[in-house]
Amino acid sequence: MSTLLFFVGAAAISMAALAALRSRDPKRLRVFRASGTPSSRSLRVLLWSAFLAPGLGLLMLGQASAFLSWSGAVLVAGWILAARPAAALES
Amino acid sequence: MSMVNQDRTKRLVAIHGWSGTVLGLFLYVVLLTGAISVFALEIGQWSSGGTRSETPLDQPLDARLRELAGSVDAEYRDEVTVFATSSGVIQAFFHTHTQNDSGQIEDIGVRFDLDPKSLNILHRHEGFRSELPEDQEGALDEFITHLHINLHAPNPWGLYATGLLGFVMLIAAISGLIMHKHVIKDIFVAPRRSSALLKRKDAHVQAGSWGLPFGFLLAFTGTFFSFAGALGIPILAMVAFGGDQEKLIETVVGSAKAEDATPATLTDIDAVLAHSMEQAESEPLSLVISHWGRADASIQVFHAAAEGNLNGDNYTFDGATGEFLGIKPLIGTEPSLGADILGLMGPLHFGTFGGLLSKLVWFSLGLAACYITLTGLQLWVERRKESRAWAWMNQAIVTVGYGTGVALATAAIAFFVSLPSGATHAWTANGFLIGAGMSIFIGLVVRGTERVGKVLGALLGLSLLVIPVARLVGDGPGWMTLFERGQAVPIGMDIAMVLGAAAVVLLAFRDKPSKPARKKVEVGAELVAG
Repeated sequence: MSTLLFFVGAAAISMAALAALRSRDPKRLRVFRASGTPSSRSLRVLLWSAFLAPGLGLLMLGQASAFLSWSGAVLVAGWILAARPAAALES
Repeated sequence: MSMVNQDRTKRLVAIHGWSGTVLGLFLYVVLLTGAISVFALEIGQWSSGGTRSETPLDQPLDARLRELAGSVDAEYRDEVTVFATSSGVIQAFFHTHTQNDSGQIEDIGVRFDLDPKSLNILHRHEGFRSELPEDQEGALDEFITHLHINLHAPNPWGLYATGLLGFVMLIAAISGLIMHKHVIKDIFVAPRRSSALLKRKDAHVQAGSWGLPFGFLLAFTGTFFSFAGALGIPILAMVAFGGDQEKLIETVVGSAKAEDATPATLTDIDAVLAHSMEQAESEPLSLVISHWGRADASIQVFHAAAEGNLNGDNYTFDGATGEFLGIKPLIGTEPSLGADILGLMGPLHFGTFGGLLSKLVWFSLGLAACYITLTGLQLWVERRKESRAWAWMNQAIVTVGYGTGVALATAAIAFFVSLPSGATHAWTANGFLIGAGMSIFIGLVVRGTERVGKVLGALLGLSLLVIPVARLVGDGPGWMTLFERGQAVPIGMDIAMVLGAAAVVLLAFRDKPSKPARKKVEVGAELVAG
């Protein structure tokens, strides 16, 4: 049970960071001519750190099973999230 | 910033594309069956209408095993393996090792199939391991797993083939990483719709970028598993052990005790199991008793991974005294970095370490790898669509893409329908061939890849929907019975088939020809593409 809790917590933090990165990604906004302010470089570094930090935390806590599940899940979920067209396309 | 100049990029594109194109369709079959094989245990339980016992070896076995040991030839007490099939039936195989008719060393002995609740003997079979009747209820998961492991080609050729495909995947992953100039920059750029070519390129590059770490990992570990057995062991045996593979394995795996044939009573097996379960905090998966009735007897208990761990351990006991000898490393008798690394290979490749959660994640990663393979093939063909020689390839990609699923679904239908006849192994293979034949026929007769995709997508959806019906036709228990028995897995698998059918039909009929997107998107895309 604790593995699942660790996984859910870590994945939620990483996915939130990915969602923020995606919504203000400069190239994505430019390519799709979507509205929104591109994130600054420092903000992107911060968000990428927030994305990776839960994985590091799981490793430090010795949660190997949760870490591997987290790393696979965030990559698949990140891809699905990123593959969605920008809002400008949908409107 | 580019890591390579333009000429080198062209060469890398050629390596990346040609290596994938030549063997890409086979790679796709291996990847798809690999993704499904993650659920081999669940498929086994679904096949047998649920498991008879969740923890078959977590019960007193000592008295029953002693009784069985007394009923077999003394030479067959050389080694005893006890494990449970996916349906929960306990198989106790009392055997020794001897040369078979083809000159190979093989296990020979008596196998008892025991009911996990009453421990009554369901069947008794005697002979070489390869001659013993196969588990009829395990035919489906075995068929899919072997298709993944060796494409059902005879060993070692099948393993060479899948090992080679693993290499192709590794080459594609590495060359893709080197030649793609903006992995991080482009990682959030969704496929652009201004042209079919750009859309395919974006889809492939984006999926490849996200899937790269695990694509590499799965390819590396898969190649290792294929070549370690097919090439590594024979070569090492030839070089260092005069070709004696048994001796090599004995040396590498290691033995904790010296030979001593003095008669001695075997220790209490139940006490050993209780001890190992207390230490491992997980259920025992199998039991190996060596040299039953001798002073050098040993008992090894293999456990499932405990909560949060990646691997289960192998607890070793002195068979004469019951003394706990320690946790046996995967190779050698002392813990080592090599044993730890080797121990990681399995969990990383199979994804079964964390129960349903890790299985779902690994299944998704497998499907993502399938998508990357197919979009890469389609991109390569799209760039050459003016050439008539490549037109057939586009049709072949769609045919294999959906057709492999159709063939696997018809294999499952044939398996369930043939369960009462007891000829499931033959019918599962026949069902696969029928589905593959139908798909190839449709691929040859129907004109246009869009139409082939829709026809095969509809056929796959229909086949998936028929599987739960076939399960009932083959005397499988209905949902009410399964509810009463507390068997969730077969119900979950039935539901997964229905959901899979819906997903496939949506995918096949949503995939319309690429059309020019709105002007503002086109402009944006051209800015980047240009």
